[in-house]
Amino acid sequence: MMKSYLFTLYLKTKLDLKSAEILITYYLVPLGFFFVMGAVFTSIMPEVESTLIASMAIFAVTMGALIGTPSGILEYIGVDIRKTFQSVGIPLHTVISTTVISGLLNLIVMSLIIYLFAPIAFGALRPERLGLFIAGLLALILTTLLLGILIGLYGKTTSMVTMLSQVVFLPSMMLSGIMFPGDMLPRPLQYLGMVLPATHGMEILSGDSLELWSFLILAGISVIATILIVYKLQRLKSYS
Amino acid sequence: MITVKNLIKSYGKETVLKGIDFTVSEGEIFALLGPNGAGKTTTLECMEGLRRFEEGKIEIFGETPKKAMEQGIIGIQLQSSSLPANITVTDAMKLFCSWNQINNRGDLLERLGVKDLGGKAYKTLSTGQKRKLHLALALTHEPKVLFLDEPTAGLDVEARAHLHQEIKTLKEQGTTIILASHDMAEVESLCDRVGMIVEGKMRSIGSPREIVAEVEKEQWIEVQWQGELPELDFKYMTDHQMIRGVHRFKTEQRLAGLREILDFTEDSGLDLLDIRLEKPSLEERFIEISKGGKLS
Repeated sequence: MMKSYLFTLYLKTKLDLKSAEILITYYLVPLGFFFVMGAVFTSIMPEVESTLIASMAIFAVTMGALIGTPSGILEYIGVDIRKTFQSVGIPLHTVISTTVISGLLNLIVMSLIIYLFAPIAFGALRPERLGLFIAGLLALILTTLLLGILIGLYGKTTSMVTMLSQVVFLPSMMLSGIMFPGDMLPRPLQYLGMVLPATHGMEILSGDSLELWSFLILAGISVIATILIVYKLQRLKSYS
Repeated sequence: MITVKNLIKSYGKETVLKGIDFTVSEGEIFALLGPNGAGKTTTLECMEGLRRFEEGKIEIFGETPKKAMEQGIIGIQLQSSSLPANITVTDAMKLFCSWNQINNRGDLLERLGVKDLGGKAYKTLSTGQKRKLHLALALTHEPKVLFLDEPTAGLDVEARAHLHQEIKTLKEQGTTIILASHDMAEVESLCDRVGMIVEGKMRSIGSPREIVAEVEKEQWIEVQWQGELPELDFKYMTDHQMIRGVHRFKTEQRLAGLREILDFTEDSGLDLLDIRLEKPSLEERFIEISKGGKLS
């Protein structure tokens, strides 16, 4: 079984790399945004040098996980492929877990590109506590991927998935502090931003101290998302 | 032996299978026929272990459908089988072989004529190529029972003939095949027995010949004469039609009817160009049963 799982993971990663949608949402758009916004931010607000890597990585993660992942899930969990997979005994959780691992790998690569090139291209400062940065980044990627999977599982059509993705993605861009400091926002919007993984990702990645509260919130969102994913998979599995 | 006993299945408040019963013997090709929405695919999916059902019992060589699937007893080609758009034919085969825990079966791709498509993405395949690939995937573990849901729907004549040949070969190898189809010619030429499902109930079951024979006592005799036709007055004919110069007589007593026509021809001095007995086809029987006609 492990051999079958590993082959499925290899195949999923390979298919993701061949997918135009994944290429665009995981790499091309975040890279384009990185180069344009990197140039703009550093010229009009030189002080962003210390948060540029964090904000660009968070953009890439949020874009990839919330815009790219759900459509892939919708394709695989769609009734025809799902039944075909079930007919040969491929468990539904294999589809989900391989999506998470493949997404994790792609988003780590993208974040690494930003981490390596931001100092060279825009003079961005690298985080002082690399371990904390990596831990925060992994927590953010995992949480956001789970949200993306949740959207793909519960959105029944492409248009519904697109709408749900935007409902989380756009506030993540505007309210999390990656475009401008969150404390410039009205108080209700600041509270609203508190439920978004990107906000806590920004807290962790841009700070030099351990933001335990943000880690806990990311863990909480992940737990809730996982419960809802498992519930949906059970329902799909029973296929009544 | 496959047994389906009192199978009942509902979607919400609607009961779609209302107590289906039938058995399929080892090595047999059994077809489920029925109009759209009759419950054929639901019956198949219950047997395949892909759907739960409320009541009844299904046994596939002594196992429940789920266990039969887990043990590799069954192979499934769904009506709407699909794969990820970018997966190649070769990778799809490797994936299925991997989960069936067997070595790669490239030979099946060759046997079904899709080996040359090995590097092509699934989304670029034609309907026929996809059908062949899914059949190859369903056969990877050499299942004892093969489920085929509309196996030749959307295929051209050549691809259809190729698949029919493949199904016959599988039967010769001892595979039990259960298929759902709308294609009467396909069913008549391939299947040992047929079950007709209408509105969630098994309305008729038997060999295609037996099903047709249920109404065979009512037959049409087609006659073509040359010459001046006198007034027609037949004792054994219950109906008469005239289609493009051909007279069609319906009779319940074919021998007496034939004799009556031959006597009439001789007495009236007509030249008999053609005479034939027209047996009802499986398709006609299917339409009759679908409309709620005579039941067995």
